[in-house]
Amino acid sequence: MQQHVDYLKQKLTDYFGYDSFRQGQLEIIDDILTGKNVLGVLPTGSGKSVCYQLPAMLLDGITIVVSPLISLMIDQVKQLKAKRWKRVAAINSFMDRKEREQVLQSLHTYQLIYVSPELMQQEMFQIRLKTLHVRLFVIDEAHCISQWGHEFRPDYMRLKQIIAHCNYPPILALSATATPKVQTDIIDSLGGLPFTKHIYPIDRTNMAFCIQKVEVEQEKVTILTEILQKYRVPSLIYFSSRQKAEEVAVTLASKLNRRIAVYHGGMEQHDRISIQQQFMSDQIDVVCCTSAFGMGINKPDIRLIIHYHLTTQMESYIQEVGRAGRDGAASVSLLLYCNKDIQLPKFIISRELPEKHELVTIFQQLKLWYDQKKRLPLQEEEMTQQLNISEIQWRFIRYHLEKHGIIKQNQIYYHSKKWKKVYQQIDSYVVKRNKIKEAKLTHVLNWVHQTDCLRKHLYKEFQLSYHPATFQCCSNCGFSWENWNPPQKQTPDSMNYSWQEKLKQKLLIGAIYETE
Amino acid sequence: MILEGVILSCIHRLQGERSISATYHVISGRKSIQTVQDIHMYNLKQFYSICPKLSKPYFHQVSNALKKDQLIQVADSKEESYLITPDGMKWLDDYKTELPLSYFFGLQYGNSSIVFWERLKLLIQTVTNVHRNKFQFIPVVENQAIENWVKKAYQRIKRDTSDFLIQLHAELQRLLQTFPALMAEIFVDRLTSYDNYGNSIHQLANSYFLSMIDVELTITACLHSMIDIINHNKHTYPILNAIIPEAEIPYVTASALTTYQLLRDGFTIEAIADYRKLRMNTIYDHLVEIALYDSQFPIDAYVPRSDQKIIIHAFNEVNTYKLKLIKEIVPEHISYFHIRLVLTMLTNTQKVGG
Repeated sequence: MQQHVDYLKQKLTDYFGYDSFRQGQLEIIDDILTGKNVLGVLPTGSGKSVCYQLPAMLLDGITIVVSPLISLMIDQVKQLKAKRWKRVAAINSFMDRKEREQVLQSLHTYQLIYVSPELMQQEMFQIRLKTLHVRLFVIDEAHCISQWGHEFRPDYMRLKQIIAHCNYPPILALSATATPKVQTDIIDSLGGLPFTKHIYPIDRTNMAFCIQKVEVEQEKVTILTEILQKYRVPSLIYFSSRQKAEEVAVTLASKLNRRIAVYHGGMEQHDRISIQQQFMSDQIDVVCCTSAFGMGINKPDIRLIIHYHLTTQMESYIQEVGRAGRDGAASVSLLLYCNKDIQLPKFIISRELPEKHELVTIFQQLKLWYDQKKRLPLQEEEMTQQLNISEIQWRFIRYHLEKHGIIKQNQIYYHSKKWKKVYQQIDSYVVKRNKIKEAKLTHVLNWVHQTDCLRKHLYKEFQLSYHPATFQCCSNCGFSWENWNPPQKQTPDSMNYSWQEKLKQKLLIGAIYETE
Repeated sequence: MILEGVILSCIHRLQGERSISATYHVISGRKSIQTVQDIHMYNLKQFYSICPKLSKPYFHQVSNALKKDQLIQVADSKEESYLITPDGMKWLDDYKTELPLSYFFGLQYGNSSIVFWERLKLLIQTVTNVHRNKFQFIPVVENQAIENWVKKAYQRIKRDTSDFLIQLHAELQRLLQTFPALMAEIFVDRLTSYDNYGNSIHQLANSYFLSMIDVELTITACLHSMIDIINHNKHTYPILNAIIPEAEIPYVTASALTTYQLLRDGFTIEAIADYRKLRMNTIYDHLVEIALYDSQFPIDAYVPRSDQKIIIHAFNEVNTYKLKLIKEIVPEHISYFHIRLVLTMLTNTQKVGG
């Protein structure tokens, strides 16, 4: 046994450069390698991906990873490639067709393949899958399977068939936020196969939780200015709106001598990578961002996480604050709340799924196309444009229409009675789903207005107990900023170089002369 | 401000003959035959597709502000067309030296400048990292074709990265010197090198007090002009010249090409429409599109010489590219398609009407 552990440790060092396993990794990897199905619930930033990346390298055959977040997928592949691990690929709907076909044709040459659940449904992919020797099937963000999870993705419901397609390889289902109810749901949805559970506590003892209520929004900026003035530490400020993130960043930059940047999903690839890397290497102090920032980022010394807006559920909040203090040092989370804030998450929830009038329009349009003997546009983009709905909304509808045989491939099948029934079903499903989400939002609100210990109530839905705080606890247990004194980052000289000098620096010209 | 300048120039050159949307389509680079024909007829080629990401709401916000400031006025409210006002002309003149309008070569270098820029950014990031013995880094450009190109280019460079960096620096230094300082600064700030990631658009907007769209337009203008200079001085800039993609891809759509193929195989327009299950008007659009680019286009096969003469005559009479006005004074049998085709050939300075 010890020999086996030593072997795995050696491989961990060889491939990833880590000296030892972190909590849960070894146990999970060991179970996978002996062919068990594993459900792993590990806190954010605990190195979940190593749990399948290491086995993928050791197993002879292919590891498939289903991941709902394309940006995360691309990130992981990039990081692995940077480590010079070449036999890894991501397949998703963002790739252009030629590129995708190229990867599909050479699937057998890869060790690790990331796939989006939507792409997994494509016939072409399934045909290719049958010819492969899949040794491990990983479901990342497995809570997406559950209707009770915070981001249910209908395509996850169909993974059961795909797993059968692959001839039942060992399954690894991973999540950072799965309540006991969601855990049961995950296992049930996968067809009731036997699973070994590895559940680890998600509470962070080095985090202090603060909620500060304000009367008007303007006060938030004042508070931000004061705090960031006092602390020069790597900080993230989370927003629910891209525009607001940009606005506040500009305001803060004008008031503070800090390097402040913006990050959101609407920015081009180049800018996103650039901001992420600048933050990693301390070229930036503060990032004003949306939830798009942080996945795949492993900066150990993020000290301060501020929420400018409410999240729509506790899961996102826990995930976002989980990005701070991975080195174990005292870190702080601050949530700024104003009574008016409740409108934004409500609006976000109402836009996630199609509303009644949108549903009607969609059915009318489908009927029109049917009457004109037209097929559905092949490109998802075209579809969402023509129906004037979001991609997520269309995927949701498509899932239901396909399930009931109203559309097959891109062909529409009309049957008056059936259509009425399906319309009713989708409509009542939307109502039900929105209710669940509203309940989750209420949960967040209750927490915000909690007078008891915030730590105690933050984690209670996810685990039976929690550990006491290592440093300060929360704003209801007497948190004070005076007692938080993290090491400050140095202010670099803000030299104003000319472009000529900068060009020299960037092309390493001075350095060349020096070494010669 | 650059965006405002571009919009004003477009409206000025369109002379109230096209709707405000036509300006949007030019700037955002709509690949429709109408837009492509417009840029040829109204001398707007330089602005074509210089801002593909421009959203329609933002465009309208800016153009409404121009209206409010009385730099433009309604020409025809039903057709949503505008004219530039004397104030607008003065505005353009006042800012003439600050606006990089003459730096744009949208149609000519739009595509190649994008490829050039991506290649240059990734090449610099790669070579500087390798030069410092760092073989693991997150590339700022994610595009397989660009990556492949850089890999190939790197094979030639790797023997002497010092020499390459010195040469590249010399060329960029020489080239950027001919540009306004602000342009050079933004260009350099955007570059990513070893352990030194380039600034984002938002960061640049903040440090130079520009709108984000103006930052992007400044970079685009800089790139278009760079390529123009390099193209005319290939021997002065051998390294940069090698980064420019070989041939400019013409703006003919794949669908139009298919139609053209069938035409050359001897199919009639009707047969093609039937075969391809497309409307006749779509096929007509394809023909106009092809006529724009193919100097050998056999216009006589579609419009008899005598009709070509009538259309040219009518065009000279109304002195406008408004198809409707021309159509009103030509005989009934001459269609919009005929008129468009002849006007296209005219703007292409082809021999029309014998």
